Amino acid sequence: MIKKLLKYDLKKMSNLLIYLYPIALAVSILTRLIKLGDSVQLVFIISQVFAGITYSIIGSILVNTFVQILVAFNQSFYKDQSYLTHTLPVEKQKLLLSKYLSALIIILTSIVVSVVSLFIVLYTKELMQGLKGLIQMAVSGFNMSGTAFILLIAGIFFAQICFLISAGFTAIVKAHTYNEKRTLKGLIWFVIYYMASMLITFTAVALALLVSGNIKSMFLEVLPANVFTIIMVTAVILYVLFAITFYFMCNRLFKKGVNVD
Amino acid sequence: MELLKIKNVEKSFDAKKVIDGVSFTVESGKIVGLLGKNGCGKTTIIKMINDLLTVDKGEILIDGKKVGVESKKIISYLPERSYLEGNERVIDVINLFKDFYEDFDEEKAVSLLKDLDLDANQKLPKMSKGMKEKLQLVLVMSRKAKLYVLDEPLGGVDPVSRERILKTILSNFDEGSSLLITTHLIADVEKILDEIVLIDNGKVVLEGSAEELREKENSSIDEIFRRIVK
Repeated sequence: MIKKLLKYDLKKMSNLLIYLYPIALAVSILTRLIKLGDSVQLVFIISQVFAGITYSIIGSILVNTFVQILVAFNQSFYKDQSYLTHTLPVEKQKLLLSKYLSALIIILTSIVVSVVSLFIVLYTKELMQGLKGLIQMAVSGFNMSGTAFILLIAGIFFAQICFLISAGFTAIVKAHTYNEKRTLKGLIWFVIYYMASMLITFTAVALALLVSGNIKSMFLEVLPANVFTIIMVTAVILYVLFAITFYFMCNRLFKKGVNVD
Repeated sequence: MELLKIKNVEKSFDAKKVIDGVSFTVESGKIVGLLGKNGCGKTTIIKMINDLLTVDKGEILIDGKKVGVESKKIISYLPERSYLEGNERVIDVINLFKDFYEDFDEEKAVSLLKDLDLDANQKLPKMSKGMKEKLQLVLVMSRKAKLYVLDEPLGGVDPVSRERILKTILSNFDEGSSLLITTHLIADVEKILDEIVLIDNGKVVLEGSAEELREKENSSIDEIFRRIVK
């Protein structure tokens, strides 16, 4: 059943993105091709314009990823679409799980498409060397392997996105436990969830540093390697925990029943 | 046999009680009209039967079970609103129903599409409101459900189309199944009803066999309705 739900949810959530992905890739390739002849002034200007277009499309992909996911969630569960969603003979938990999985797949796809498009437009030997240099610095400075550093950065980025989506979904479901001003209440609940999570994160990081005897270094301009690692690892763990906690909160609220618009 | 049992159901929105102790039953094989003027609470009751609204107090049982996955398997619901959105084609929606409802009869759906002059390859955004209403009716009537719940199927439709819709409903609804139909256009449906439940201000004000009420009051259901609901 999850497979079937995923098929339809992915379709709904990627409504506009499905067109933006190939456009971003095509424009970035076109930009790259134009760049081959950018020793001529006019071609250089055109390549810059195309690069700008690529960046705007990438920006549009990133913004639309969040907007589409949240809008599709809201429409499917509380607007006209809900008259079909909630009358399907499927458990509510499965409906919800499918939305979460679809959101994760779309976020990952958007990130991959954006990174690949950027790479096509910006790739130069110098840039790659610069990136390698940066990673090398991290490797020697933070006392970890290049792969571990990249994984940690990617992990914190992805975990934070999952947390934000999970908090967003829970805020929408929470807002629909009220009968009035649901959009405003959804926003308020999202801010509350976000602020509470940030407060817990800050407290947990401070506690982790206190326990490891590094609390003073938190206020230094340049973080020592071990402090950086403690902060990053604590943050990744917490974001994952928040995402899971919000999923269960959302599930619990959702199981009590819905009141569609 | 009681297929649908609604027992002392209440529902409030903020301080306003919109459904106040409603109780009625729908027996197997019966066509029941849930009648009342606009805004009297008919749709709220229908939404609670279909898990679109929670029940504050009371109980709704469908084939002896509470509202849930099992009840959704045997209820075929036509909402008053259109859920047909997006850039899909008619055939995609047919496939969706085929995917999720075991009792969906694809052949019947294709045949009904033809009867109602709908094209399976037409895109939803290019369809008029009336065409979408017809498509939803096709989807609902193509299921071999135990209970068909139709919310205002004649609302916003011209008198000629009303006849056609009623004909589609009657000719595609299985004798053993039950039909719960809400409408404020009583004159159009009263001839097909076995029983009526008349709602006013969130309460049941009249309930019984359509035939017996007509004989007892010596007037049509529409006239009785007009006398009671002013």
